Amino acid sequence: MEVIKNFNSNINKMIKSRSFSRLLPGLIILVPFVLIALLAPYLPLQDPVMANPVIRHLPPSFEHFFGTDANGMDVFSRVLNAARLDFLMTVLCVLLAVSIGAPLGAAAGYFGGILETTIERLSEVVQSFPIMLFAMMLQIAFGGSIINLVWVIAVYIAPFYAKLVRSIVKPLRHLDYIQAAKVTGNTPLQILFRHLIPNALPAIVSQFTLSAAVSIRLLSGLSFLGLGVAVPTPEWGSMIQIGAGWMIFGKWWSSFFPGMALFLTIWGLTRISEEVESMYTLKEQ
Amino acid sequence: MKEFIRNWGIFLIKRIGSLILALFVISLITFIIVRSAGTPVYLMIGDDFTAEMVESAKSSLGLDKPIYMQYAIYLKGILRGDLGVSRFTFNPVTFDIAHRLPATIELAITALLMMILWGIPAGIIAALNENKPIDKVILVVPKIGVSVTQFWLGLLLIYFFYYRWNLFPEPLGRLPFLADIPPHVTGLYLIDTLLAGDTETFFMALHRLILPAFTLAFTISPGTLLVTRATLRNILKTDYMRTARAFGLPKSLLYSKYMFRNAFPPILTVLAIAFGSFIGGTVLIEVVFSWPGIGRYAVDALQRSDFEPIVGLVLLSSFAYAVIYFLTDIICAILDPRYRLQ
Repeated sequence: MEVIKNFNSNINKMIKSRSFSRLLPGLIILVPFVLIALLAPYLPLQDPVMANPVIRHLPPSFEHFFGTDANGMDVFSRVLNAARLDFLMTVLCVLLAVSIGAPLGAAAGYFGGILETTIERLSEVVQSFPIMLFAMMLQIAFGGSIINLVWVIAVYIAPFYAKLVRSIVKPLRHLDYIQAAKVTGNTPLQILFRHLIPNALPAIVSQFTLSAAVSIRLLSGLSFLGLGVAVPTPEWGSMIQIGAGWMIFGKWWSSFFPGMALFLTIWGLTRISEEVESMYTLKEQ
Repeated sequence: MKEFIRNWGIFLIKRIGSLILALFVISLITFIIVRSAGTPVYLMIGDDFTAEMVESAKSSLGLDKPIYMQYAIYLKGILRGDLGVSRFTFNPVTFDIAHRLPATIELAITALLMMILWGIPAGIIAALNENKPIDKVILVVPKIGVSVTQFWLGLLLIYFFYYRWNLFPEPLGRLPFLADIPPHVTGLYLIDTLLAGDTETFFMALHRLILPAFTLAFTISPGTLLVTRATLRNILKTDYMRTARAFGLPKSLLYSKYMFRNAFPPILTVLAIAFGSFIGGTVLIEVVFSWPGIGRYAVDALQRSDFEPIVGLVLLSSFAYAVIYFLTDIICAILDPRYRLQ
């Protein structure tokens, strides 16, 4: 409760003092990427999935800003177009993780008892799973697809939100307004979704950028291994995979640029999440 | 004394209980996935089959028994170390894993040493110089470390250190092609070569180990550094440190006895979690550097749709993680009585 109050008052303070400038270093990097992701299909770019064997492995030039890859596809166009799929998958992962984790965490905190212990133990087990190997196992068992990939990562991140929401909801359950909601005939589900989870929303939202950074790292790693995204589809991880074997022959560009895009995205996301984190602790100090 | 034994008793029962529970749940989840993935019955008997052949193949796999019996059989197999047979190499999965595990362990231990040698001293320096320029400079490294993706960093290092400057050998495994493999004692080449007195091979193996281990350490070490820094920073602000300082205790005593001792459990925990995640978490690095460990084994199995090795590795590495975490808790409880009372 204290945490939420602090956070809300910090946000208010920030708006008053216009100290949003603290988020600038992260936003300067992220906003262009989001714009690229939105606008990529409308930009005058070369076809990102057009393979032309005649122009394989061309180094960066004016014609191909980032060169061409082993399939003769234009790396510049692919890097920009890949932002779309990567960001879409990341957002899906985070939203799915919240919609799995938050209700479970709220239920654990509100009902307590065996349910709480079960959810806690399950969370621990899920997070102790080796995510890469686990995703491979699911790939063989149920076939590979982007949707499966998103599910695996969402389930892996969900315990994080479950713990967060539980820690916020637990002290609330004996408060008067919850008791009042109970006596006026609200069902437990209504109490959870209408009266408890909204209290955790600021905390949930503040963790979005951090879990987005985690998701996109996992996503790119898994598609680097060839899980989920099939080759001609532009995606940063699988693009790095295309160039990986050519690195030892000095053809650096087709892996370097998508990797750089990933690095900058994750850098921007973590910068923002750090600032949000310090807003949380601002008042304590 | 009675109190002491009681606390330890409760602590151990709780911890062992949750360890067993974790292992149970892990095996249950993998069992559910394996069973819902379908059966290899039709793979076994081929195209031309009768109903009797299906029945006998099912009963040979134990699939005609009720589902809880199937789980019991599965669990018994795991406990005996039987993880099935690879559909490609036709070796028992346990054998294949045992063959490849030393490569991963060697990589993991080297990376862990690098993390300790960099993360802890740098964290200490950063904490003692909080908000001074040197603190800010040191903090840039973990910021890069969490943002960079492992496989991309590995590829960049290969490009510069192998292709450009030729400082390190080609990223193709633990030893050069046709090099003498040291006689098997531990499976860790660095130790085996020294035991055999073969310093030449030792340096070759070391040379090939540095880049992958560095990549792993660089991306995982931010946790160690930041935890060290945060823990020490909090301890420096405590009342007992202020009191000790006011009494005029010499700095060496102050730091060694009052600061590091108390900082040890959280640092140990973060290192243990990192090491636990290495067993099965080195897949990307092993692919980039063609490292013949268990991660590479998993990727090979994936490409051949070979199911048993991957299930075996999932079990192995989550068991390893759970056990390492358990042991760390015990060590922390020995060092810090507060852990026992939780």
